[in-house]
Formats: sequence, C-alpha cells, structure tokens
Amino acid sequence: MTGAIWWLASYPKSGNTWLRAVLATLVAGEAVDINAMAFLGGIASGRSPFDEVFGVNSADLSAAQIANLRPRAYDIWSREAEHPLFCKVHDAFGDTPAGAPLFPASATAGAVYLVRDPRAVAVSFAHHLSVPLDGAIARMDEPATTLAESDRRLSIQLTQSLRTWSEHVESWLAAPFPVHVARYEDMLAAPLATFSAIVRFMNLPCDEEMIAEAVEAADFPRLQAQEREKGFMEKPGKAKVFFREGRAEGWRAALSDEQAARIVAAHGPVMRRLGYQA
Amino acid sequence: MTHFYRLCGLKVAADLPLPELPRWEGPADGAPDLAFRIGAVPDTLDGATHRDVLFETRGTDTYLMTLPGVGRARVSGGTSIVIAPEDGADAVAVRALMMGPAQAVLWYQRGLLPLHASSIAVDGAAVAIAGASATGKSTLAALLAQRGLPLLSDDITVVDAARREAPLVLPGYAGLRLWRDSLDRLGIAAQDLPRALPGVQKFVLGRADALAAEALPLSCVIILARQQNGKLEARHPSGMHAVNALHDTIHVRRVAAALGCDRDIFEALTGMCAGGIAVKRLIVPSDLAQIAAIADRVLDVARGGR
Repeated sequence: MTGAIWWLASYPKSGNTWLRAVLATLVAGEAVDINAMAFLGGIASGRSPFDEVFGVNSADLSAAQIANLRPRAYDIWSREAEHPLFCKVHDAFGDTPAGAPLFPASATAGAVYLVRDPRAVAVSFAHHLSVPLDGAIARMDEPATTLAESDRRLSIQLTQSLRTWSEHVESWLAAPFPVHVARYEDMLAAPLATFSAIVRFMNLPCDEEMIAEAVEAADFPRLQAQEREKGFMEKPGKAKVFFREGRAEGWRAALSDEQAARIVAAHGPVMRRLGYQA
Repeated sequence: MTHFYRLCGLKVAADLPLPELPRWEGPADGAPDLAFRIGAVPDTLDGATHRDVLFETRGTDTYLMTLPGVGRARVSGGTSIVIAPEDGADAVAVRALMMGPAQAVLWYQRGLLPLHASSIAVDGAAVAIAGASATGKSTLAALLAQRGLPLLSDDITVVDAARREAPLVLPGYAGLRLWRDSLDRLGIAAQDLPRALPGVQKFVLGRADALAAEALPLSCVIILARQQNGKLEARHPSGMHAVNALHDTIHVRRVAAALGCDRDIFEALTGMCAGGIAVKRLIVPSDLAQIAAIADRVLDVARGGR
C-alpha cells in the first residue's frame, strides 16, 4: 500500500471513538482531550476538511457532486500528509455515483474495522438517535439508511450511507486493501491484547508498556468523566450522553426476546461469521 | 438583460439576477466596477502556475474553476467573473457558483481579505461572526438583524486591511442564505423566498433594508465552535494563538495560497491582532432552540464582556 491513511471504520456505536482515544494517547504520549483528537486525521465525512481541500462550499453542492469528489479529497490528504493519518469512517465501503471506490486504495495504508454485536449496537444506536428500539432495529435492516442527511438544515458532517448492518460489515471485509477486524467485546474483555493487535497491524512504534498506559488513560470511565465535565462535540443533539454504558451484555436486559430474535433473523449469517452466537 | 447591484461599495453589472445583492441606486451612467457575466470560459489555463482538483490559477490575476454538473468559472483581474454553465445546469446552482468561491477570489485579486464570516454592526463597529459551515453564522446574523442591528454581510465578510491599524469591513450581501429549520425558528415563512440551492430547502432572505450604508471599522471577530451539549462559553486567544485562530477564518485558504496571497494575509492578520482587533472563540451548543441565548452572548462578547 502506498497511501498514508489508516481508516478506522465501523458502524456507529461500535467503539470507534474509544479506539481513537487510545491511538491519540499513543501518538501524543499523554492523555488527550476527547474534543481535540483531530490531530490524528480528519473524520472522513467532515464537511470542513472537504471544503478546505477543494476550496469550495460543499453547502452549495449536490449530494452526488460531493460523493463523487470525496475519493479525490482522500488522495490529496494522503499525498500531503506529513505523518500517518488515522481517519474515522462510518460510511459503508462502496462506489461513488460515478463508479469510483469511495476510499481509494491509492490513499490507503489499511483499515481497522471495529464490529460489535448488533443486538448491543441496536440499544446504543437507539439512545444515540433518540429513537425507540424498534426504530433503531429497523434502520439497521434498511439499505437506504444514512447519517447526516437533511434538506432542511446543514450538518457539520457530509451525508454518509450506512446500508444495513450486515452490508456494512461485508462491505468493509471485502475492501481492496488490508483490513484488521477487532470486536468491541474483545476490546472490553481483553483490552491490552486487542489494542496491541491493532497497533501491531498498523506497525506503530509502541511497546506493550506504552499500549497498556494508553489503554488505561483512555478507559471507558475516564472518557465518560471527560464528557460529563466538558461535553463531547460528536454527541448528537438529542442524545443524553455519548459514552453511555460501554458494556457487552447490556442488550440482554434492554431488548425483548422478540426484538433480539428479529435482529438475529436479519443478521444471523454475518453475526455467526464474526463469532456472535446467533 | 443587465442587472445592476451594489457590492462592497462597488457597482456590479450582472447577466443574471442575484437576489443576495442590493440594487445599485447610485448614478446610472457610471461604468461598472465589477462584471458578473455568462459567457465563454476556456477548459484550462495556458501557463497555469498552480493546478488543483477543481481549480487552477495563473499568478494572482487569473483563476479558473470547473465544477462538474454546473460549469466553469473564470475570475480575472479583480474585476470580472465569467461563468460558462454546462448544458442543462440548474440556474440556482450557477448563481451559487458565482456568489461563492468565485467571489472570494475576486476580493483576493483586489488585495482585500475575505473572511468566512457573516457580520453585523454593533455600536457603530463591525463584528464578524466566523466559524466553519453549519455553526450558525447566517442564522445569528438574521436574528440580530431582526433585533434591529445593521447587517454588513453574509458568509463572506470583506475586510480592507490596507490601513493595518484600522481595518474596515465593506458592506456586502443583504441576502442571508438560510435553511428551512432556521427560518422556522426565526418565524419567517419560506414559501415566497427565492431558493439558494436546487433540490434542498435553503432560501435567500433579502434584507436590503437592514444593510449598513457605509464601511465600518472592524472591532471584533467571534469564531463559533459547535459543541454538542457544550456550555455557552467564551475563550480569549491572544498573540500568535489569535493570529492562528484568525487564519482559520480566511475564506478558501487553499485558493488564497494558490493565488500567492499567503504573505499578505499573514501580514494583514498580525497587523489586525497587533492593532487591537478582539479575537474571541465562542463555544456554542448546536441546538437551534438556544439561538436567542447565543445571540445575547455574541452581543455581550462583542461589547467587551467575558
């Protein structure tokens, strides 16, 4: 691979911000402000970096114009990068309307794909979007699901296509560059081993001791405490908090048997492929 | 048909109606200072000194932008914007191309400093409200105009920094470009307003009645930063932090660099900070329901409160 960008890809509510907090701590060499992690690299769907790199107002462009330009932005980010970039992505991997890969291999060093049991994602996603559980479950099974799409207001994010939860996972596992898969549940149960494997995949010059310190400095209670104190700029307006529970099995109490069964019926094959009991 | 408008004190002759701009009410016979035309534009610039994805430049004086699906725009000599629309291009999209980055280039070519900011007059001085897209600049300007404050511009604030110690803001747009949710919040009916963009509910709210008549000295740049559930909070960068913060508010910085304007911009910004322009960061919640409280705080900060 020739590119400078490591994509940190996931469906929403699957540990992406947690991973970035750990990486930011490793790169900075000290605990970081969760509202100041942009030095890692832009969020792939950020509106300002897009406007900056093209010298345009994306607010004046159509959705298709923006989508067609996005891969070219990443080529410029990669070409002009002075250090590796770690860029958060929630889009499903796919082609632009013009038929180019949204995330070009030429700009890419590789991707870490974070995955979480979709039953837990549904609970967290419902809180995140301030919608009922059934609404979150339905969105996760809807191919047209997007983030930051509205014709009534401007979002600080560009519109992102998520597709279904299963399609999201499969799109990234089939990406045309190296992809390392990490499970949220393993980040919780065995943080050191799981984060170490990610760090080794990206060939970062960090020893076990540094990784252990970063994992501790950016553990879930500390991220929650930062949000309580200062807020978190990536929290959606209606959600109460961004860092909510950070548990693996919380869905068992939150979902009815019927809701859990509906998720398994929709996503069973991909869940089993990732080692989730379904 | 040619339409005549006033922009930054200059007479504009335009081939297309531009509802953002106030009509020219000065002498009818004077030659226009600026020409906004529909016409032929080359595919590429001979002897370009910088080529980027969407634009190329030759020195400071020539800029060519190609926006697939809309057309090409050429900006020359600080006096003319010519747009060659693609076949079937939406007229509203063509207008947006003319009023956006192409216009910022025009100001760079004239040695002026376009900030990505809306601005209003507070106690006889200009206050620029800057910040990334979707931080609420235009909505705040519209609300403050509703409260009776004179408007100076929306989206692009043109600063004449020739006198380093006393930079002036030139009166620009009287047309605020607002999304439907903002209009609803401000109690303004959208149905009769011209569209600012095709296909989405973004409109032009003409407020020629509220536009300041004269250039005013710039007293303060307030940079909005959105933070979900963040508290409304002002910060006060100084020294190089203030210069860097101001640099983030420059319109289309990548284009300015390609036009060779970096050095002039840096000198203008350091001069502004040394000359006592107040630079403030205002952390604002993203919730439109709090826009009135944010407007109160903008006025408070503009008047020197902390």
